[in-house]
Parts: sequence; C-alpha cells; structure tokens
Amino acid sequence: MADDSPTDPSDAELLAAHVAGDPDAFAILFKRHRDRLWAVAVRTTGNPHDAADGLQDGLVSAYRRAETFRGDSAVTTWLHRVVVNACLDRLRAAKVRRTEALPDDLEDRGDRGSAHTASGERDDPELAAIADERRRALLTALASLPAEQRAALVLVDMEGHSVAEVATMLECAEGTVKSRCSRGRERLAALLRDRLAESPTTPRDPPHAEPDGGHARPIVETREAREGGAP
Amino acid sequence: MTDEPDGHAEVRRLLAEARLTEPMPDDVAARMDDVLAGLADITPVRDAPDAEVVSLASRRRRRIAGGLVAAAAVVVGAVLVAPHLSSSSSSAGSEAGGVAGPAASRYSGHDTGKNQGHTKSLAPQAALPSTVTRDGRVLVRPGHFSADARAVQRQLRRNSISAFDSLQTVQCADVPRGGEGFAAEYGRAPAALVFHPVRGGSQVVELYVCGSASPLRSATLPAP
Repeated sequence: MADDSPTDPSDAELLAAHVAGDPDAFAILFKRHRDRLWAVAVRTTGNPHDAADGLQDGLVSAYRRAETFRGDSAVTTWLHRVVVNACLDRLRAAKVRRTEALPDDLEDRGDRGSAHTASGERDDPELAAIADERRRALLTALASLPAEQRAALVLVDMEGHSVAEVATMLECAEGTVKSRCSRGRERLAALLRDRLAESPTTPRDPPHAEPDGGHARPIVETREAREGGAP
Repeated sequence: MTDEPDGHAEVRRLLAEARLTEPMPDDVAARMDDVLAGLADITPVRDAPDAEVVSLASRRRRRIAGGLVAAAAVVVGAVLVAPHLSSSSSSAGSEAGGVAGPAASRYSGHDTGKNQGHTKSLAPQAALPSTVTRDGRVLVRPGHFSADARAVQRQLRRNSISAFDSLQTVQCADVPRGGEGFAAEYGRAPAALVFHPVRGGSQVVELYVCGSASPLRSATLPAP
C-alpha cells in the first residue's frame, strides 16, 4: 500500500473516484504503484518487452474493470492480480518459455532497470561481476520454471508479499502458493547447485517474505548460518 | 526456518537480491501514459447536454420512417460505423418521442435494412424505465454501465426483442456476431452493447467500442 500523506487520497478513494468518473484518478493510482507493477511484470514474463505488453494489458483491464473491485483486498493486491494475470495470459497464449535470452536482454538494457547491486559489489568490479553472473544464472533458471511457479516466487520471494496476498493475486489457495513456491525453490536449488556452493555470504536485506506464508521477516540467513545450524 | 529444505533459503536470498528496484523506464512509462490517455478519451461525458431521455417503448411505437441515409465512417482503417440517419420526414427522429426506433440491430452480419418496414405494433406498455439516447444510440455511461445495461435489458424483457430488429444498422468492425446488439455511445465513442444469450440464470452484456474486438465493459446481469 502506498504511504500516503494525510492529504493524499487513498488507493481505494482513487479507485472509487475513477469509477465515479474522475478522469484523473486512475492515472494517479497507477503512477503510485507502477514501479512495483513493472518489476513484477518484468520478472514474471522474463523480459521487458513482454512485461510492457503484459503491463499494458493489465492496465487496460484494471481501468475498465474497476467497478468489479469489491474491496475484499487492498487495491494494490487487486492491481497486482490484474497485472500478473495479464502477464500469465500472455505467457500462456504465446507459450513462451525463455531460457536464455532473458538475462542478456536485461543486462543489455541497463536503463530499463536492473537488479539491486550491493555497495560492495559496486565498489569491487570482481564482486560485481560475480554478482551479475549469479543473477544471470538465477534469472535464467527462473525463466525455465512454469509460469505459475515463477509468478509465485516473484511475488513471495522477490517482492515480499505474504502467501495470503499472493493467493489472492493468483486466485488460488494459499496451499497452492506454498506448493508452487516450494517446488520452484526446489527446482532452482537444483539448477543453481554449483552457484549456491560458491555464493558469497554477505547478502543485503531482502524483502520480507517468509518461506511459508509469513510477512515482514527479513531473510538474513547466510550460508554459514545454514552450515552451522540448519540441516 | 530450520524445517526448510536444504538450499531453499539460499534460493530465496538470491531471488530477493534479484528484485528489480529501479523505476519503470521512461519509454515504458510514456507508453502507459499514452494508453491511459487513450482510455480517457473514450471516458464519459457524464452529462450530455444534448441527450434526451426517451422511452424505448414509446419510440418503438413510432413508425420507422427512416431510410438509411447512411454515413459510413472508416476510422483508423478498422472502424466502420454506419450510423443511421433519419430521412427528412423523420429528421427529428432523435428528438424526444419522435424517433422511428431505438438504436438497435442484431449483429447477424446481414442486417442492413433487411427488417425495415415490418415493425410490430405493440400493446400499450406499462411505465418502463427510461433509456437515454442520442442520435439513435443508447447512451451508456461509464460510471453506470451495469445500471444502463440493466435498463435496456428490462425493456427487452417487457417488449419483444424482435421489435428492435427493424432499426438502424450500426456496424462495428470486430464486434462479435451473435447476441443482441444495440448501437450505443460510450462517452463520445460509437459503441455496441451486446447482450449474450441467457445462461444459467444470468446474462452477460458487453460493450464494445467500435474498432475493438475486445469488450471494453462487461457485466453479468440476472436473467430477465
């Protein structure tokens, strides 16, 4: 949810104003959330071109179907649902399964947004190169997952939404989200086994998802911690 | 977290690191702005000053005096609208109570004028909900889509749908065939209001802006 000042209309107020005919309300609402929606679209589709198309589909759908919003969830959850579903629809329709082009494409388009880079990586070219390579491998592996698994991982592990929220976004049961995440992680762990073994141990604070449904718990576990205590 | 399978925490950490944190690129943002502007262009003139409230039933009782003067407009190569214009004898056809028929036609694909001249005479009607029309088109207000569609549906229920067959022809490219279609105006855009067959106690109504194959609005109404 946006962090609004007291004078700013809430998301729900903006959506209601749009439904009531306010010509500017939806644009304000969209601009408020577009960066996160974009990020989800990019990671869900695997490339910026499909992401832009999917986001546009979602934007039009949300604009047109705003009346269907019942307030059962946060407006942002609803927006994510519309956009993710639009992206998934595109993937299904095109039967897109990118396994190689994604990371190169993303890296070639640095101005389109790239993954977070820790300060140590920025300062040290070697660390940066390793981090980039790791990210490439991860995104390549992520792109090989079934779209529904990928979407669940993007929303839970990348974006930090709770399983309950993601279940609403993906219109499925919480158990289904957990299952998709678990299977997706399992697959990624297998695909990235070699990389995980050489992974650096200074992670930044990631978003706040828990592996099985919680919210707002930072992931701070490092490889040493795992090796020292976890099975 | 100790019950997490081996490697999952590391995967989650890598996924978190790969989170996209930069804003939407300018070119994409500009594209979305254009899309929004386009959507806003067909958004509603909420109070159309030149619109009048006319009972479809009362209009239907009038003789159709119209030939199809026909104005066909090709818009962006994809939109073909052939709005019906009343003949001189009914040039005031869109005035309150003075029109030959409502803005309706079946999207059967071969409806151009085929039914003209056999308008059914109707039994007196009870007071019906009014539908706003302009120039022979049902005005659908974006903020009241369901209500406006329901009003038309109610009139269909009380009358005979076939009574609307003899009315003006409106062709929207890409509007799907089937169902009962009505020439409509959505904001300032020519459109078609399509009622699909009743199924399972409900009826889906969709609004297509001419030139688009995708419904702009949709609602599921209780079956009439």
